[in-house]
Amino acid sequence: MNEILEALVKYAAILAFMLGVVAPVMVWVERRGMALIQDRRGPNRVGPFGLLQPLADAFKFIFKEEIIPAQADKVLYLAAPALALVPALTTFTVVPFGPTFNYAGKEIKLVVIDSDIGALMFLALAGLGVYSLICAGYGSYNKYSLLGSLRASAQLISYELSMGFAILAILVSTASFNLLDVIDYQNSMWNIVYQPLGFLVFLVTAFAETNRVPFDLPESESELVAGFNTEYGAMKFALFFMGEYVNMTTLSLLLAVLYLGGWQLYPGWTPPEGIVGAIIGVLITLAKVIFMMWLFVWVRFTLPRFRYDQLMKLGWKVLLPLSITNLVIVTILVNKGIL
Amino acid sequence: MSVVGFSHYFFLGLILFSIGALGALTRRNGITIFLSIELMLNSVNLILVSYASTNGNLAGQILVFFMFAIAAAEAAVGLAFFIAIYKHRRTINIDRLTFLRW
Amino acid sequence: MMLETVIFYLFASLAVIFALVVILHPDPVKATLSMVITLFSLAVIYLTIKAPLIAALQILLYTGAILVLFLFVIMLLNIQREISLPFSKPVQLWGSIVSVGFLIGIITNFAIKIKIEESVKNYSLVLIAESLFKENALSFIATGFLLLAAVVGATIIATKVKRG
Repeated sequence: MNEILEALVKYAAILAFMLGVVAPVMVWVERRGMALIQDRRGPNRVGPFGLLQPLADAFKFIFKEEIIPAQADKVLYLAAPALALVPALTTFTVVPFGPTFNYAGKEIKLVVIDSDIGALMFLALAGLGVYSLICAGYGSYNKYSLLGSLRASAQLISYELSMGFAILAILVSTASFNLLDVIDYQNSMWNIVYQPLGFLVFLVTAFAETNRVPFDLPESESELVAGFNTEYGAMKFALFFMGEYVNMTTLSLLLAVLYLGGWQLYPGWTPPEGIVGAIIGVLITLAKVIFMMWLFVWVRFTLPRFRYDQLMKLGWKVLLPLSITNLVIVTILVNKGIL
Repeated sequence: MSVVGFSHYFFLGLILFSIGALGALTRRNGITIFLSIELMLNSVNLILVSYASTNGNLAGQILVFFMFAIAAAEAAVGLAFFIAIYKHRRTINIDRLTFLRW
Repeated sequence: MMLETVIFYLFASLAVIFALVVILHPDPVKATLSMVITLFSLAVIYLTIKAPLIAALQILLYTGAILVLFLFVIMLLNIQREISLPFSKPVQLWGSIVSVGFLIGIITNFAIKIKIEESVKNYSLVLIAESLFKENALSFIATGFLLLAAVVGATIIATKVKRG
């Protein structure tokens, strides 16, 4: 019973951080960053530097009228935003975010669920995100929604494959599904050096999995109005929005854990004992996550969007062979005892 | 079995199997029939895993692992058949698919 | 522990209810989405019998891949709602008699002796992996070939169009 309580406390802490800090700050960073890159001013009316803009946005979302299209399938239409949050709010439970430390004679691991099959569970839960898009598209009774959702689900399941292979290559060299072991394994050198190809594939698929530019075909506003969330307004849209940001954070965290050594400042660095070391470790992880999040924003306003056939070609003819090549190379190296 | 005993898992599997059989035998829509068959397959998986772990055995999990692979292959080929049939006949209502009957 | 009992009954009833929705709902998309809930509940039930690997694979393969494939095909084929009513034909009548008879038959015969040693161990992944890649290595390779054959076969069957 104590373990369950401990896990719940950790879960609540991350959840509060994700929804209370990451989502609003990212709204601000995204809009100010866009302005910076495009040489504009950006939001600067609400509070200093427009810092209170996310708050204003939240109020707007809450007080907007809830509209349900007359022809919509109500169950599916209303289930979709909730389903968008389900994978977002479950996947981060298996990703460690700080070093293990001793507190009051008890070993505390900074991961919600320390599971033997953590990486597999991550892939499984992340795969459930497709259903939100399908429900949204099918339930909205709108051709743009349906097109957007079909595109989205095809894209998600094709890129998931490459992501799975990229993660698999890491697990082969670590010989464990446990993500804490993956970080321990990187004591000698981070995986980004050993598997640059895998890192590249994972990075690209991370963009595709979160439906971000250059892979935001599902909601490409120039052709599909807003894709699968055309018919969603007010809080329902806000849920999709939050789901996207939480997914981005989780994938950034996973990328830091898999390729950038998690909480290690440099390869082989171990945090000092006790709670201070744990806090330093969490902060270092956070720095890596923040860098990755900025990369998401940076890419969004720098690269143009792919065409749909280009997207599919990239997924099946470039990324999948690349990730399989990476897996084969890693397997051979592990077999020879080099990695 | 830790808490609820093997018989509970067995009955759950049994009920799901019967529901699947009912669906497979009474529905006329090809896709739903296929879904019912998947349901039957899953109920058998449940019984296998629970029985094996009740007996302190690993074979059930291994077997179910292979069944997953087979189910994936079966779903891919079966759905491809439905697409091919739909292209020719414009329907997958199995009452209309009588071209092998004379 | 009470918690596991509650979890079992909750998800078992969910699985049964949505399994009924699968076979009774006229709209194939809704039926498939109900199937997702049924299979997800089964995955949770696998967790209560200490089979986390099977649970993860169930979510990853069944709900994440196979059922998405179903939904794709349904949307591709533009299937209308089923025309014939349930139980309107003798085949359907016989079908329901057979399946209900099966259920009753097995339940009445279940008063038999299934040997149960009542020992649940926690299997580590290493044990499963050893069994899978040492004792069952041949079957594993054969499964790989089966999947390859399925991919090739599905592609050929689905793309072949007769002209003229």
